[in-house]
Formats: sequence, structure tokens, C-alpha cells
Amino acid sequence: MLNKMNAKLVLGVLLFGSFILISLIGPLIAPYEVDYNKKIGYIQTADSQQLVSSPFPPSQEFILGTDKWGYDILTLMLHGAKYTVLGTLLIAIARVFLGGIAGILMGLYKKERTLRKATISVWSGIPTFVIIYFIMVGININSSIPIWGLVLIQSVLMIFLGVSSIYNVIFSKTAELKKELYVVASKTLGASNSHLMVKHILPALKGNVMIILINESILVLHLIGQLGIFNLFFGGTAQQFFPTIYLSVTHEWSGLIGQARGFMYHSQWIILFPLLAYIMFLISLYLISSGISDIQFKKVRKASLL
Amino acid sequence: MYSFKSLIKQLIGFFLLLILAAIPLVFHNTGDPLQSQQQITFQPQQIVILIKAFMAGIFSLDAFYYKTGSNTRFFPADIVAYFKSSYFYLTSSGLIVITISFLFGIWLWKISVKYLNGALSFLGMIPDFIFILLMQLMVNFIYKSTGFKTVKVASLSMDDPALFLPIVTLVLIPLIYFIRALNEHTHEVISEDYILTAIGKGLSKPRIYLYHVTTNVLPYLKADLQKITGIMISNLFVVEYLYNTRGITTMLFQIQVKFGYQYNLVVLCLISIMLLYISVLYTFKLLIYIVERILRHA
Repeated sequence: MLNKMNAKLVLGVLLFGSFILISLIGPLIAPYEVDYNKKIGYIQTADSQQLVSSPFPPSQEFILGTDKWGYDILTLMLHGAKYTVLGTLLIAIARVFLGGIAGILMGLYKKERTLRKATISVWSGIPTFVIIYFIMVGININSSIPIWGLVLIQSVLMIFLGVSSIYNVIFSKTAELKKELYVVASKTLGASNSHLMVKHILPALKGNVMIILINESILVLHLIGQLGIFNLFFGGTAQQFFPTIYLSVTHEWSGLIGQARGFMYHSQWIILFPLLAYIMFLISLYLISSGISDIQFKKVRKASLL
Repeated sequence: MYSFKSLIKQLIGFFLLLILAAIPLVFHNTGDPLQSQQQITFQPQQIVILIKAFMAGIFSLDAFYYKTGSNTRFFPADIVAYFKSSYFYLTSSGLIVITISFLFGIWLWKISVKYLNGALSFLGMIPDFIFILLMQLMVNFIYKSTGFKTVKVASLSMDDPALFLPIVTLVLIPLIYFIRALNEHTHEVISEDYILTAIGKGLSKPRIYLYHVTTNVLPYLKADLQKITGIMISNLFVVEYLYNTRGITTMLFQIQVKFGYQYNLVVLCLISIMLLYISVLYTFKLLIYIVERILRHA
């Protein structure tokens, strides 16, 4: 029987699984070739045929419509899915893995942690995406570096800049766990640090790590999206002149959103469908995270007095 | 000793900032911009050249001038207006955030736990730019289907800035964060023994909320102020860009896009952002301080 919170988790996993599936087989099930485009076509009006040019609204021929240059949006999205879904996931996993290992080891071996007070510096007001922006802006646009190279550079930057917050969380959790009576008892009986790690720390952290992983995926998705808004698309930006436009090389979803920002006032389907896909992906992550945390934190709270 | 150490840290931070601003000129595309593929060049010596020129420029005041096409403009004279605008957006939305989070995070926490929290935890993970795009689409949709002009979706000119949507966007994400965090803390505080004592003494509910719960939740709020200011500034980048309101971050991005990359301008803008951070943070601190004083003496 499905109770309420498990339903969330099941739904989330199913949705998430289908996104993974789409990102793996996307190009195979795409209705058109990625470079297929239709600039002009005919539509049937009441009495005659009329010549119209792209963008075409959603129809049977183009289920999600085409963009301004006649490319099928569904095809572009299916091709871009792997960068959005798998890219996000791999970056988040790398962050959690590196930060987690370092946090557990330092938490176990370091004696006591002096809590640093956050100080105000020139960096306080500068968000992560601005740092990545400055590093990438010179090389991401019309780059001679291949797609995988740009993806790799940006991924490494995102991993590098995100690892410390995970390290902090895992470190303090480990330090907390170390004070638990069962760990102290185990230690007094002569358990080594590696034994503590395998038998006590890792099992206790398991649920936390899953939630952190999902939250990191969400953060990575935000980052890729914010950079996309500033025309630095994941995997490369193609800049064209007269008029100046920026196009996503990989057709990654936040790139599609970023490049379609101008279609807010007409032909809204160009921006709407990538936006919906992006939000659905977020929803799947949210469902998993809240499903796990419902199971995880069903601890007994003290009753409120008021 | 402590101050010396922190001074060194600040200097290193500043130096790293100087390097970061130089990076777009260290790695960059060269060649004809109209060609689709360009060569990437790597010129690390640029860092030294740029920083040297900037340092010299500080003393000769050259560093404080920037170019907008053929015009040369004096940075300190221009930044004031941009700074004021960014400060206005941040503090007014911060004021709203703090007021509402008091209301729903502390005093009405039961209602918000019951009805709001599920929705809030979902809304909290939607990035700001998605909010903005959705709201712009919605306003536009309402206009198209009803002909009713609700609110401005973007600023067209400097004299007529969009107000409602940018402030809503700036309020939304910190507010969600605050309400959830304060709910949690309020719950903890309310199950403490001193609340039981207060009830035992026969104090009224509003009194307990105001003098016992609020004063004990305030420290958590204060501890989160730095984080929240950081989040708000990060949102400000996206908000100013997408709503086309003028502010420090637009100064940072727009002028380089239009007139090419200017190292000294970028560094000065980044420093202005730090000043903005500090002034906004201390405005919030002052606000909380005033509330505390009132509660203590009322």
C-alpha cells in the first residue's frame, strides 16, 4: 500500500528515471535530424493556402512547434537532454563524493574544529555564477574548444566551487556523530578510525548524503541556468552577428531557455516548452528529496506548548 | 594579531579579485569575430600588466575613468545613481522579507506549517530566473487575453522603472528560506521549559509570542542575515538583468557587452558590489536592532 510520502518518492523516482531514459535515448527517438529546419511552409485557411514562415506553432508536424529559424523544438530538446540531465547529475555526484570523502576523513582524524566566523570580504557579495562567468566568458563564445572540452571546463569549475559547502556539512555531521555514545563506546573498545567510518559514520550519513546529492543537483541546475541567462551556455555559445544573437551549441535546456528570452511577447511556445521541461526535472528532484526526508526525519518532535 | 591576520586575508581576497577580473583578457578568443571558429589564446602576462596599470591608475586617477564608446566618464560620479537604485531594491525587499517572515515564521507559525510549508519547500527550489520568466509570461498572457495592463514586466527607460515584479522576485526566495528556517526555530523555542513557565504564570498568548518567543528566535534571524544578504545580491544580478532595471550589476555587464571589456570598470564594479553588500547587511542589522530595543523596553 502506498502511503502519502512513499507516493512522493515513487513518483519522483519514476519521473526522474524517465528523464534519465530520455537523456540516454533522446537523439534516437527525436522526430527529425538535429539540423533539419523548415523556414517556410503553407497553412490552410478557410479559402486558400497561405505562405507563412517560421516560427511555426505546435502542430501535428511539429509537436512542440519550431523556433524562429525553423528547427523543431522537440528534437532540439531531446538532443540537449543529456547535457542537462546527465551533466547536472554527474557534477552533483562528483561534488558530493569529493566533499563527502574529505569531510568524513577530516571529521574523523582532526581533533577539534575551530568554528570560523564568516567574515566580510570583497568576495562576500559575489555569487558563484559570476566567478564562473568571468572565467568562461573569454572562451565559451564561438570557441575553438570542442563541446566536451567546454563541458569539462565548466563542470570542473562547478565542482571545485561547490565542494567546500558539502565538506563543511559532512565534516560537522561526522564530528557530531563522533560524540555519540555508541561511537565513543566502540572507540573505547579499540575500534580503528576506518572501522568507525565503515560501521558507524557511513550508515548514519547515508540518508543525509542522498538528500545532499539531490539538493546539489538542484543547485547545479540553477548555476547552469543562471549562466545560460547571461548567454554562457553549457557546452558552448554560438554568437551570430547582425543582429547579435546567442545560440546554444548543445541545445541544453537552460540554453534553449536563455536563447529564447526574446520570445516572451510572441511565439511563446519557443520558451515555454524548454521552461516546462526544466521545471518538470526540478519537480522530479524535489519529489525524491522530500520523499526521502519524510522517511528520514520522521523523528519524534517535542510537542509544542502553545 | 587577529587584526593583522585578517588584514592579510582581506588583501589576498582583494588580490584574487584583481586576478579574476583579468581572466577574460587572459583566456580569450582572438581573430575575426565574424568567423564561427576562433583561436583561444592564453596570455598570463596580461594579469601583471593589468594589475600594474590599475594600481598606477588609482594614484593618477586614470583608473576611475571608463569609456562608453567615444565618451569618457568619471566612475564615482556615475556609480552613485546605480548604487542608490540597487540599494533601494535590496533594502525595500529586505524590509518586506523581514516583516512577513516575522508574521508567518514566528507569530503565525502554526498556520504556515500546516498550509504553507509544503508549497514553500517546492517554491524554494525554483531558481529566480524561472520565476521571472514565468511571471513575465503570465503578465503578458493576462494582458493578451484580457487587455488589462497589470504590472510592468521590464523597465523601458531609467525614469520609469519597473517596481512591482523586481521587488516580488527579490522578496520571494529569501522569504521562503526565512519562513522555513524560522518555523523550525520557533518550534524548538516553543517546546522549551521557559515557555511552560510563562504559561504557568498566566501570561497571555500574544504576550508570550512577543516577549518570549520572538526575542528567542531573533538570534537565529541575526545569524542568517549574512547568508540572506548574499542570496539577495545573487538574485539582484538576475533581476536587474532580466527586468532591465539599472543598478550596479547592469553597469558591470551591460557596458562591457556594448563597449568592450574594461578592466578598471569591472574591478570598480566588483568593489561597489562589496560596498553594497556591506551597506545592505548593516541596514538589516540596524533594523533588527531597533526591533530588539523596542521589545526590550516596551
